[in-house]
Amino acid sequence: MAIYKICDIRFDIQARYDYTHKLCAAYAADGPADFTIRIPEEKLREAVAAAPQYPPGYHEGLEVYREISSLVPFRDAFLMHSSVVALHGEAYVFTAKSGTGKSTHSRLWLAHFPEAEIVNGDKPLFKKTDGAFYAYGTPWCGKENWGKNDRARIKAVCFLSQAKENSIAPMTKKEVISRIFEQVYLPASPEGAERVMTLLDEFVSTVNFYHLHCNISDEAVGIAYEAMKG
Amino acid sequence: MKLKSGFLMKKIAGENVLMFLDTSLKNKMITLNESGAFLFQNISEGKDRAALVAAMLEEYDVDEATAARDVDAFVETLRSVGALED
Repeated sequence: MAIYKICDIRFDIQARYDYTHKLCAAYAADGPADFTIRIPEEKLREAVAAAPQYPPGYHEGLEVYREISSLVPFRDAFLMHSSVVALHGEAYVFTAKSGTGKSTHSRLWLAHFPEAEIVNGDKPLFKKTDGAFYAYGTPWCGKENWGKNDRARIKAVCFLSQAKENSIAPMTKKEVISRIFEQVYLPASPEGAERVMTLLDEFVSTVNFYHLHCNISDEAVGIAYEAMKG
Repeated sequence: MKLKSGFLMKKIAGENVLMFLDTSLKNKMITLNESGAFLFQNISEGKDRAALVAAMLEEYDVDEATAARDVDAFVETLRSVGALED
């Protein structure tokens, strides 16, 4: 049995291929599993057929994470496509559509703050614990493979847009709602989707959101940090 | 008028969010104002156009022509996002 603790939740991941077990090695744990995950043969075959250029093990890994993301809402957590920078024990979250520059902006933070670290560069889980939201590292962390088995309390969330000049402004809750569903994984099951929406109500209500228009410069980091640190 | 199955209506940070779980739909979600949320609730209870107009008249201080126009506009919105069966 292979138990992994991700987002303080224990999964018994019954993967056929070594790929997932290697990916999750830093999250190995023991104790009773909260959930057991096994991808049905048929589902895996379909995934491989849809994109045969990737090996089956890789597909299995993606399906496992989809399953994890569908289960964690029942433990007060959800997946938000974003990059999480930990600085002085707090999480600064950057989100945007793929290709906007989340990784590029995160890299600027690492250059600006030598003590900063990436908790997860692509697919972190956010979990409500004692009334606050924490960003958790997961084994799935994007093509840069930026991540660590750690967590940090979320300080603020920032939507990114490319621009010539740098500027930042707080977002209204209405603006946040119009954009956040593009970034959050909503489980296919109505019960799971309902759980995520309940969590988002609290998340959007309690966390500060900003919209940063930025170029690729150290100045962009400075104005983002000044606003987000509150 | 019949709603497609698989939607969730939820208040998120004070906004009425209508989420469609059918991933083939173009829009994943729309936000509704108070009267939109009221109409949606009534449509989900299976009311027809006449009953919706009557419900609007009872709930809001509007005349019949305004209520009918609001109902038609809202139904058109639902149709345009693919939330209706017919």
